[in-house]
Amino acid sequence: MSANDQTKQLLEKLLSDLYAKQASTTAPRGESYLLAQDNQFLGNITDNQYDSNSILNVYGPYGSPYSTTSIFNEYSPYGSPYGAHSLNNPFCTTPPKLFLRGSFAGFVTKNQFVTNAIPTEGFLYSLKNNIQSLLAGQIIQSEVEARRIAGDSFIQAADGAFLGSIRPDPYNPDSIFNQYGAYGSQYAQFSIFNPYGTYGGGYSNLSPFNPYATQPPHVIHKGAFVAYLTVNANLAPRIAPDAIMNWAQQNVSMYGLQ
Amino acid sequence: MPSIERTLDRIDEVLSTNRRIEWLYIVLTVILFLSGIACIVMALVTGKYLWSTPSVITTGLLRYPLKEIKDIRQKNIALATAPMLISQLPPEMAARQIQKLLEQLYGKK
Repeated sequence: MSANDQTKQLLEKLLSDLYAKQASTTAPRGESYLLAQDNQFLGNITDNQYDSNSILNVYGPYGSPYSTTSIFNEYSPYGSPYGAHSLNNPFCTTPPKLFLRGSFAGFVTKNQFVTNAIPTEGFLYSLKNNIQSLLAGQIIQSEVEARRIAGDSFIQAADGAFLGSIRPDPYNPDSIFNQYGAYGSQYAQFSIFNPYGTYGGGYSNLSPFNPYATQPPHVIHKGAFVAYLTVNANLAPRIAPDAIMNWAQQNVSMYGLQ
Repeated sequence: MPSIERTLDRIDEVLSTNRRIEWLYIVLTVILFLSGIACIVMALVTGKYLWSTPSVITTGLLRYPLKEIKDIRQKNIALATAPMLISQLPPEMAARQIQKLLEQLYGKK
């Protein structure tokens, strides 16, 4: 069936209106919840998936991918990679606030420059896989740790920094192959393609382009170390930076965590 | 007028558009079917069995309009059910059922 037919648009609009109507009534907040900085309640953090106010209830106003008040709706202001209050927007300065047991725990965001930041991947991973730890305040702090546990494929600097996904998709904002993205641009701080950056310069020990580097980035595939990303022929196993695209096309799925 | 009512009003328009498209597919299906039959009759009358080849092709082509007709009927049922769900069920239940309809028609998001 066509993805853009009128029936689909109409039913999605109807559903989004129904969820908006539900979200507009005052939801009883639990002890642990997510709150947007425009004061929109974004759902309770609870292990009861059937609670209509739960962030994990896929048929509720805060968990449905069709609801405009859900962080799981990739077109909502709270879930879109471009949303003004979104946890998925790496440039968002007003990300959602997480409250655990009644007290403020931090901002859930992909923006590494926000103080008190809780990485989105870590938060989502804990939310879906280990909610009891999350409720107890134990949140996976590093993006790399969350991605490893989730079985993602990416580049990790020797100092632990995340240097981008190796999904061979030039439109993915996290991909090193997106030349306009935070990890693929030649001007970005965390890009291996920035010739003046810590992770891309010809003289940096953390760069894949330094032939004498002893601590080049690691290529992580499905959560496990595969090779060093380096031009240093003395290190093994290694993948040369100019061969990484071919390697990713052969080994990594463009669409998911593979 | 609140947004939900406005959307419900549009359902009638979309239903009638869908019906028009459905009729178009039915007519095309009938034409294809009759062409196939005509070719077979031609083959039998003239004794030139090469005439039966196009009927094989037209029969194969019938699959597409038949699938479209089936899809449109499913969509129409979903569209006709939505207002009833909204009027009969509490909003949270209605939303749940409409989302399930959407997932059934288009797969999970």
